Amino acid sequence: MKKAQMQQFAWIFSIIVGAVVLFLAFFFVTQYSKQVERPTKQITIASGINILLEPFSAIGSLAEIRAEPIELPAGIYVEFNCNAVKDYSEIKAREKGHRRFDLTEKVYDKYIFAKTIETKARSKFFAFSLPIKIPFYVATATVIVADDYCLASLPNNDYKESLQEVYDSIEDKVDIELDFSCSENLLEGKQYIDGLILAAVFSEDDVYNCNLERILSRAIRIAGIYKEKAMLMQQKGCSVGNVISALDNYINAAKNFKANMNEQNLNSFYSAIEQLKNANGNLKKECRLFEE
Amino acid sequence: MRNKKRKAQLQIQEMAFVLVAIILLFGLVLLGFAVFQSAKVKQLAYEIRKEKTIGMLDSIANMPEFSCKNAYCLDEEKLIAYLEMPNEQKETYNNIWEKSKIALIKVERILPEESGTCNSQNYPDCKTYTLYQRNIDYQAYSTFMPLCYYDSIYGWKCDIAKLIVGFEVPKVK
Repeated sequence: MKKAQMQQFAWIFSIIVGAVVLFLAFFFVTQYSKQVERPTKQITIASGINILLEPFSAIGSLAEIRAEPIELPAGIYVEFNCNAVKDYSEIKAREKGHRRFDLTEKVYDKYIFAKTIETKARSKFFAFSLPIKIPFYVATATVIVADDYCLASLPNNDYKESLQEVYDSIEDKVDIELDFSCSENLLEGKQYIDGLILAAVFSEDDVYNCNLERILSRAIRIAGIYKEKAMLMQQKGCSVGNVISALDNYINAAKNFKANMNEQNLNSFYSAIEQLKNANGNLKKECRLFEE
Repeated sequence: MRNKKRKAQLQIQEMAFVLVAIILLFGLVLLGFAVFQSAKVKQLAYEIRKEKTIGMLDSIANMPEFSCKNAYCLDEEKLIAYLEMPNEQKETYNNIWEKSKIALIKVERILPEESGTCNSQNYPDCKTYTLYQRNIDYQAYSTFMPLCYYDSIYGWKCDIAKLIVGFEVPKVK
């Protein structure tokens, strides 16, 4: 090999090796920065919907409806799903234009009622907790309000007043307008139970039905616990009247309604609730299974 | 001519060795960085689980399956009813605990001092209710709570108990 050829080879060789080393360095740096950037995005989105991931339900039956603001940056898409078989609510969030979800979180101890959120500008919504009593305390639902609504036609005035109270306390912190003087049909086609009217108004049909199914499953399990408790108290001399048969009736009615959510089964479930309420209310105070 | 060729070959070999050494060095640095990062992630996972478990103490105590009807306490009859619940229903709760990385949920009566596992025959003269347990390494946190039950003489009576919740320690591979 001539000296000139040798030098030419050395140059070409070093250029190729240099390019490979630079390519690898850039490749690893960009990969790493993507990995670092992903959790940062997750944190930005998660901090907005943090209230949904925290143990909001810890307050339990002692709390009445209470609200917390939610703030999301511009260009965020948040989707809410629910799985009745595996018993969870799911929150998925991504930036608009991205295919992959930056945040996917399954929450097993919550019942999240919401509609899909898409933010155009930085937006402030609110979520409120809603203790569900049918007639005993079953769970605390979390309802997200991310749009403006006309609420004059809500069928139950008690819930309307509670919501108005909550909204008044948070109105200046959020961009949402709830108008209690205009009306629109918000409950069309939904089989709502009394305690879940507000949840039905502010959520997609499939999310509402799925969460209702989860809540009914839990109510059935808790009713089973009350039945066992009533039997134990009876053994210790507490008169439990017809509470045990009322609980059996309640469990059957809830199972039927869960299997087929039609008006007839809803009415049977309501009458089972009333029967249980009366049976429990007729007991001596120390023998009552639950307080309403 | 032959000497020049050998010299050139030596130079190429030298360069190849240097390149291999540089790549190895980069590799080692990357490996060290990865180990450092994974240790940081594990520590973070541990801290998050710890915080969640402490939060869970409150959530579990307030679950309608275990809580008293009108105060911050555990209902002993409900604990027994939970233990005697059909397996397919209990499975739903077991799945929730497992997904939440919970390894242990236990209630122990502290005052009055008792011993033994509780059931419908021996309560309230017993100590322990194991509501959930998995045979894995866990770290436990506890909180004191009233444990209340129906008493034919006093009506409602409460003892002092400890609610213990353990979380799964992140695995070190």
